[in-house]
Amino acid sequence: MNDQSFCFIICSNNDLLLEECIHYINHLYVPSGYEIDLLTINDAPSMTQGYNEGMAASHARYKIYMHQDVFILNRNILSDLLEIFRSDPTIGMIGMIGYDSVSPDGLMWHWRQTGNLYPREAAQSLPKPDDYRYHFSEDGISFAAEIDGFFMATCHDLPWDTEYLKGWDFYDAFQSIRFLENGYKIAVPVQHYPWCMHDDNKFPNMSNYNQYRRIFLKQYKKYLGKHYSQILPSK
Amino acid sequence: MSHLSLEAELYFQELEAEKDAALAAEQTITNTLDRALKAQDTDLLLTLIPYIETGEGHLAYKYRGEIHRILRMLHIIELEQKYQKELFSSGCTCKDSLWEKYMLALFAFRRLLFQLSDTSVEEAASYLQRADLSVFAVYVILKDDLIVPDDSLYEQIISICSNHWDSGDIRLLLTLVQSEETATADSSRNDSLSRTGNTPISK
Repeated sequence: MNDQSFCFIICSNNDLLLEECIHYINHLYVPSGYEIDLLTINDAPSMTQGYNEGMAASHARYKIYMHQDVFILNRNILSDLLEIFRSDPTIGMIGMIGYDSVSPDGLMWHWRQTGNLYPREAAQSLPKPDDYRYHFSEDGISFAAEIDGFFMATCHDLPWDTEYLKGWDFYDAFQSIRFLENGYKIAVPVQHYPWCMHDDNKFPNMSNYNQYRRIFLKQYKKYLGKHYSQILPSK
Repeated sequence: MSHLSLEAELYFQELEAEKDAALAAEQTITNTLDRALKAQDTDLLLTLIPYIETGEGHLAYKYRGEIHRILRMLHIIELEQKYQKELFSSGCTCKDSLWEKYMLALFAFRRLLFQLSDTSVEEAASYLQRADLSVFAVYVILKDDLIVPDDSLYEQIISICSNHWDSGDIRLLLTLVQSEETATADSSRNDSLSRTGNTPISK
């Protein structure tokens, strides 16, 4: 494992989006002494298989699993992620949007949301990315039970669930629970300026979503409605 | 079952019931776009607006985000035809090429807005100079898509497009932007008086 390395792992089926996504990655500031790598998995049979393939192929300590339609706006995101991981060795994963409890209906966005995302509308102009700087000690983080899968940064490798998940949905909820069950907290930075834009075209493709929602509800029935602190194993 | 769980169940039941019709409508939209663009038949292209807004195509609009952008493109073309401007669809021979033109324009606008580097901005400017977009295309994309423009972005775009826009075009864009700002300010005032909830399922 290379402790001084980040790897972006992206499942892709659209070159247009992927190229633009990489354009933003190429403009990130890389912390001194660190290197970044990029693995794109084309035509993966499922998100979890693609991510497992990427995980196995990378020796980077810090892996960032993200969608091809995510554009990173916080150019200091890598050093900011490092600072958050270093602040608490039990933090295993960081997301941009999170929810402190598991929604009883399995739809994570039905719970109160933390974090931030580039908005569709804003009452006033947003600062330029270079005019924004996150300060861990002042801005802080919150902890989550689940994070949205458009951006999931990890510092520990836990395999993605391929037993139940054969498509492109719910991998984020399953993986969040897996991290918590293994004793790793999930952090979401407080972002006064959104760190990412997620151009998911307004509506996710929900046609297979319910199938995996039902599996989630059955598999994790005991966690529905639970706060993240109730899912973490007691010490 | 909680109120939220019931809402979710009902939503997914409705989705399941309408799934096939939505997919068929999406296919019809794709086929019509391909045929109309190949033949450069603008009238056929614009028949998709009522199809999506009030016809069977509304199911595709309801469930597929992509159709929202398609409808936006069609409205741009409708305005351009009405005011006898170069059509956004010119040079596009199929749905994919129309889609690509739209996305590249959006990417270019974002690059101008975010100013990641000189090269990033230069590439965006170069693309926009070649793309020959109308005032309507610029205005509709910036107003309705995932981008929050500021005054400096409009200034940059006017500067880049001044080689193919006349003073009337520039005046029109500025008027549209100002009227939008006034409408937004009015709407925020109203919104602060009566705030409504989010749609139950939208993510």
